[in-house]
Amino acid sequence: MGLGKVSFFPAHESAMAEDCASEFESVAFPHAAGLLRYALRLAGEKTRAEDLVQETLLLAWRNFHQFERGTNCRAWLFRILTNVHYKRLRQSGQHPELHVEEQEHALAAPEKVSASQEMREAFARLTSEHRQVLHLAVIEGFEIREIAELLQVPQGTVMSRLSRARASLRTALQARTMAAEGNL
Amino acid sequence: MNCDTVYNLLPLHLSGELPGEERAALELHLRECAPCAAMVRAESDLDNALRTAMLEETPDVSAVLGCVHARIAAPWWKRLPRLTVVRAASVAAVLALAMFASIALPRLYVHQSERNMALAAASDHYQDLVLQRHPDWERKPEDVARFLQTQFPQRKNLLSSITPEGAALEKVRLCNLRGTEYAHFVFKTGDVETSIFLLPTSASPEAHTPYQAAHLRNAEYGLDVAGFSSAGLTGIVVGGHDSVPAGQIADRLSTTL
Repeated sequence: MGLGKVSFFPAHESAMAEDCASEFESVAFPHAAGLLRYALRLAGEKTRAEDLVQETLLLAWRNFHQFERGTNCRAWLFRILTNVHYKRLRQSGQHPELHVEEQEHALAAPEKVSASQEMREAFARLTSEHRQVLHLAVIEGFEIREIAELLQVPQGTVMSRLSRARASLRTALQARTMAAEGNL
Repeated sequence: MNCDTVYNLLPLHLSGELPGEERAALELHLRECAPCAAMVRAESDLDNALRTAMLEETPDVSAVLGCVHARIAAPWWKRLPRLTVVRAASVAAVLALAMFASIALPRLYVHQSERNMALAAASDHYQDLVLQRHPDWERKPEDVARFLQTQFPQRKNLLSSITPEGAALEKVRLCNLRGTEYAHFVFKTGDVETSIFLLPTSASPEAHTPYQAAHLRNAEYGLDVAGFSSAGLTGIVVGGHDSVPAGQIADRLSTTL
């Protein structure tokens, strides 16, 4: 017997599943680049970030029947990714916080780099909490309300975190500039 | 509106969420207060610079999407996570299953990576042969010869070496299994189709997954998958479990290739 549909499932089940998979891919896959960018910020490493996005999409696929059509799929996916990341952190007993003060040695010998590179380096030296909130607001363009839902914190907390994150980023940029000037 | 209020509302203003009335009041304040206007401009510039810097690097998601697609396109993959329920089954049942597996399936996949690769191969086989998603097959002898020359330049008699007994090559294409390109050969014996996936010799050495000849049988869905590796080639055999001796083919290829 050849490998026809008979040897797998009834044709109607196969067709329905295929339709559903196609629909899922059409609404979820366009957000994959943003998810991976966010995952890279959270996980800090490409393989773990890709793994995080893969688990997020598969989890979303398994729960796609719960997704309300017409609502914000992007926010839904980011929420799943955030939850998966936190769950993994809890399981591994990791603490993601790393403060600017703890990385002062990184300023020892700055090289001549582009403004964008300087910005990325300064951003990388923020605490994970600040990176996360800035990433969601500035890079991904989420609204304060959406970020509050994503992170399960009050909107006021998001606003104050954003203000502090911007101040920290500015401080980190200035510190790098001063170190570069002192190196001249 | 005073300067403190402007500072407090700044995040909402920068994200464009400030309601009309408050936005108007804030903009009025900015026209009259140079320090506040400078602060808002500086924060906005900072945001723009950050956005530009971060979006300069676009991550490549093709490998991730390929894996996810392979897992969800064939509907039975989505049931796999439910296998975790097995963990909650009684110890006796698990022990019985383990004993059965140790006796009846001595070469069952033990490594998750191997299992995932086998599932990806089975998924590709399913998509190609059942759903017929892929149109990019090489079928003509001259096209197949060119394909072999490109992907396996060091293997002169590869096709005859891998062709199952009594079968003939129907088609071949490059496919993506969990981010790695494999050559997917389809052979036919009457109505029976056998897929053989081979990692091209042109692939990087780190792409090789060190398989032992190992089998993954899923009787419920009618597939038998067997991975193998020889001195120079890595591959996976997929076929209907009641019609294709995938394990035997893999065993043969692991020693003859």
